[in-house]
Amino acid sequence: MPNLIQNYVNNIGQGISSVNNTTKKYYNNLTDSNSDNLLAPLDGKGYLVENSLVTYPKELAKDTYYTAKSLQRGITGKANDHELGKLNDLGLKLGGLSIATYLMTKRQTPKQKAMEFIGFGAFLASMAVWPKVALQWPAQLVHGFNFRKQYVDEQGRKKYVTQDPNYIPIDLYKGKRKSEDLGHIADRMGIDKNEKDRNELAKEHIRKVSVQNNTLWMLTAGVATPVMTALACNRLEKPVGKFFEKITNNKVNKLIDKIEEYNQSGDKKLEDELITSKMDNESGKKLDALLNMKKGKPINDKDVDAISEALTVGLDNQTRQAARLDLGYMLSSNQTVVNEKTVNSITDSITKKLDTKYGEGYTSQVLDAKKLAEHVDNFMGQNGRPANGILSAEQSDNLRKSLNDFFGETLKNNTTMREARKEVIADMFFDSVNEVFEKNKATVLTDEAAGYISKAGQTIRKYRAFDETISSASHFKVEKASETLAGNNWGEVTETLIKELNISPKELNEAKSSEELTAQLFTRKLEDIAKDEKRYKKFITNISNKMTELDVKLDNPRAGKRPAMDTIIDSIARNHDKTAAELNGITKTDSKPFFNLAQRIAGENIDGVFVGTVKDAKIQRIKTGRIGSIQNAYMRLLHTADFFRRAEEYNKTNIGFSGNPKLDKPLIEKAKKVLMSSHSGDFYLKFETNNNVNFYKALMWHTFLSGDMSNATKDAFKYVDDAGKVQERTCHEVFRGKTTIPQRITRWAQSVGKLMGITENAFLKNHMIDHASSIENEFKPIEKTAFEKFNKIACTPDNMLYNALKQKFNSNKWLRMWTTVGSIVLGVTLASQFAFGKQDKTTQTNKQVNNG
Amino acid sequence: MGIDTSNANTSIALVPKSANCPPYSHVHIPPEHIPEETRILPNNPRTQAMRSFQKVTSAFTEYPAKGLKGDKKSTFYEFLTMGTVPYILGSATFMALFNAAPSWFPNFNKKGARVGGNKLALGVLLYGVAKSISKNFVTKPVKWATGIDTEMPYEKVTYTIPNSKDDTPVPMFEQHNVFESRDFPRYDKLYNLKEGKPRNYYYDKIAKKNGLGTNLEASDAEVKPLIKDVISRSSTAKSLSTYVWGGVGVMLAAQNSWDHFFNALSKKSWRRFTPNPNENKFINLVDRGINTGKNLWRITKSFGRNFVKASKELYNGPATEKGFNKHAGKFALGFAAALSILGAANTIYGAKTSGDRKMVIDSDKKVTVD
Repeated sequence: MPNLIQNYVNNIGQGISSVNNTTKKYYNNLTDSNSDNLLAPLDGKGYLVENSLVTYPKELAKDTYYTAKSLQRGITGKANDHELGKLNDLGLKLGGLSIATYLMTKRQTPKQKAMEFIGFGAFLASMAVWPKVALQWPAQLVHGFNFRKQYVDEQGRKKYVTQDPNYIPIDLYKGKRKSEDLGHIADRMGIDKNEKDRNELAKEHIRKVSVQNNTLWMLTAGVATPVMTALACNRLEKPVGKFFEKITNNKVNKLIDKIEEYNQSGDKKLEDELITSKMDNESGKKLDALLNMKKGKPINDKDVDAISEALTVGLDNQTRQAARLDLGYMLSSNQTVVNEKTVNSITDSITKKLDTKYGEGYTSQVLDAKKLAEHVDNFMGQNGRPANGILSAEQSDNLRKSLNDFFGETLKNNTTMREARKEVIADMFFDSVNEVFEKNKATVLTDEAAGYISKAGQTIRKYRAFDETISSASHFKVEKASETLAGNNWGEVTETLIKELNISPKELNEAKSSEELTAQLFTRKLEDIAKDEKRYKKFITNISNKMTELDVKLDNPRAGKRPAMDTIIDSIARNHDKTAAELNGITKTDSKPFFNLAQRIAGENIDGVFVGTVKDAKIQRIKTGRIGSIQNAYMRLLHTADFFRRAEEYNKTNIGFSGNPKLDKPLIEKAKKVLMSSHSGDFYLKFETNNNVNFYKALMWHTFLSGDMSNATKDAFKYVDDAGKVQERTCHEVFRGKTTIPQRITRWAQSVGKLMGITENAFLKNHMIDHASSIENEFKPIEKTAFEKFNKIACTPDNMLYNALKQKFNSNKWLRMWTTVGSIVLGVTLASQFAFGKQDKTTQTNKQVNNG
Repeated sequence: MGIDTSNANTSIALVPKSANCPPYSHVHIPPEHIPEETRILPNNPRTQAMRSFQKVTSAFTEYPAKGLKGDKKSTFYEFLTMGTVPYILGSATFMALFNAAPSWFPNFNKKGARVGGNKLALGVLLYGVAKSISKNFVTKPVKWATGIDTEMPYEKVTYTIPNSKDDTPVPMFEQHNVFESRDFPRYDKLYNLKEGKPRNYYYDKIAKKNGLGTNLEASDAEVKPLIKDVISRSSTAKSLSTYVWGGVGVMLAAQNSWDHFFNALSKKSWRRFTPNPNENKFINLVDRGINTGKNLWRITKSFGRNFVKASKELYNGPATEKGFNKHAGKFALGFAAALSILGAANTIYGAKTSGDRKMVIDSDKKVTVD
């Protein structure tokens, strides 16, 4: 025996050094008195992987390295099956990332873009989390072992211990830890301590439970993974949105600061960054190429259209028309083009006329086209053959006279024709020449004109570039689009409203069917809230807090700095004014070749009014159209809530309103409906109260004009300062600075009352003179436009809630449906653990036989 | 060299009648010799369809039934085959996630939700189709250039170990590919592949095609490492490229052109059949069939037309965009194509260069020195 071993050692020692150390152990054992060790197999290099949060980073790094190595080995044709399996996982991720990257390009906002990657990440996470949470942990709790335990084999391949039921490397369970101790596992499984072949039973149990769980994993993952992914994305949307809103707003605020700095300093570097680098050079090249092509050549109407289009790329149609008008004036001319086509045109025209009057073929009797051509050619020769056949006004008049003489001569020589007919034909000829000359009026694009147009193009492109920069900031702040500050805030306010109203799923389901039902629900809920002062205060405070968040986000108020929205409005005005001034300055003389275009862009400042200009449209869009309409809707909602509370306080104290219960009761009922649901049409129709003028007057007064406010509302916005003095809580308001919510509510209510009251058929005239004599003088005519009224009345509270409820219903329905599906799958999966691992009859019988 | 022992049945079932053995090992070896039924199948659409059908039906019925019981005869193959279940159920669930809820939405919100849902559902379908088809972008060129069909299918037939004395062995069918494992390719199945041809006919062919030489003494031994190389490289290429092609399928489905197809697919576009009261039932039935056929043809044509349009849209990108946003579709197509082309080229390169060819003394009768 020692010889055999000696030989073995010697042989191995010659070739395989790595085995040397191992064999040495055997050799050393020869001196050991206990020779039993000689029979023990070598310790395997495989080991169980301990997965925990502590080991996770290390394992992740190892796995990543392994995958990278697998890729290298796969490309060089050396990767084994396990490595190729890893490359399959890599491919899955690569495919997913390419989808997310592409879909990202199709999304508009940073949040939407990020959600594409988050969605993919959630999918991968769900794939990993589901088997762990729904199967591994419950199975471990119930059966006492982790069926997804991983091990690394001799070749360094990481695998699941139980993935192949016919090869479970249970020998790796060496009892280092409790979870690796078969005895302990058998205890947890509830296998009797006295059981014969206890370990075998534990192994069989492990195999069986593992097969069952692996199967259940395959059956459930298909439903669970997508559902988990979708639910996770649904949950993540809001925080992700908030995160990106903050990031983007910071970015936009920095941009606005730069714009402000540029406005103040005119810094060249900032101009490059904000304007020059954003200029549309492509359209500039196109315009200049067009001008160069046409320069010095006659141009027609189509050419002028093309130039005006190239000049006004990216501007609206009305502005283009203004430019077209300017170009039309600039390029008008009394020159005429005469070329080879002119004679043909004259001949064709006269032939048509003669054919109509005297029948076909008559022309040849009175006109020799060849001679006519020769005559024209001679004339052109005598006049030095001007370039491009363009004749000056004088030359073209001379040619016209000469042609008339030529034809008069021809007719004169005709002896067979009656004089009367000659006169008729001479008139026809005269008309034809004039027609053709009129058509051939040549406008020539002079170098000077081309220079003006090119310069105007440069000004327009600069204007557009700066406008684009400003718009990129204003769009994110106020526009009616997804993920803008205004849009997000509207969503948050309506969400707070639904939460504060405490609407149950059943109520939601009913109310979402129609606006009327929503109005009824809203009225009922507001009445309930108004009855409870504490709840009411919480309601109005929480909602107004959300509303004022928008002002702060829009303006980024900082001490000593200009509010952001003021900068935006000011920059828009400056850009337009500057552009108009530059356009009006393009001339060598006093004339203004781009007067109409400049007028369209900024107009003249007549008492601060710029109606009909691009500048006005842009400023009003932001000030009135977006911020104004949102603020008005918000204030209407708060005013409505306050009115409900005011009515409640009146019910309790009988103080307020007219003091006459007979009038006040119906008035309050009507006012609630007016505030809740009336659109501008209802205001024009005076809420169908035309048959009772006094009631209408009282209604308008107590609902909008009186300035009264419930005590609860006033109190809700008060606080006691450090000195113990009661103060009114102020908040920042866009375009106004520090105000209070009660001030804002009253301002809105009174402006609606005044706006709707001052009409030609003024119901309120006397009433208003009684109570507010100067009201009529407070308003300029411009503010009485239908738009202004529509805008002030704003979105009705019931409509605001109705749309929000519909949205809520949709997302709730979807969420409930898929949460139910997910819960069922999870429930069945969890419950299955209790059915798993049961021994079948054969095993039980065998066990009984074995145990005797 | 020359003698293949990889599949030789050298193991003898020595089952001592020991009480310590698991219960099933007491059972006797089947009384009759079971012939080897494992066979190579022709690689054609029919085979692929039959194999897919068998795998999918088993994955949804037989294997889960066994697996949920914790059956002793459950195998790793069954577990792997059940991987089809989450793939199919997952696709269906994704489609449902985007489309099921709008049925309850208020009327005005339905349409928008459905159009988006339809696109996403189509994306799931096109992902599967593109992934499946794109495998050929690697396997076909490799087959043409090297003669090795990495997708060569075979059906493995095994018999279950009986549970008791009276139990009859049940045949189990497994659908494999000869070259699905790089570690254990089924080399044994490639001997005597063609009747009347030499035993090494297949290996001779591959050796000749890949420049290893002709009339080799032991072409199998020369070709085997080459096959391993091809499996490794082609599998890498497939893994990396097919998922990206699947992604291209999703991108294709995201194009606006499909809106026309969804219109054509909608209920309102279905040309209804009104039975002619003057004709008998049979004629009306035939006409109904013709009408259905016409509708299906209309939908198919619409699919084809819009597939082309969507492909162009994907390639050209939105007219209003510029830079990466405009050319993202081109990049994706280029990336997928590059992965397939480079993957196939790398595999072919491997087949043409692998092995120590410099050691060849006689290229006609390859003899190498170690």
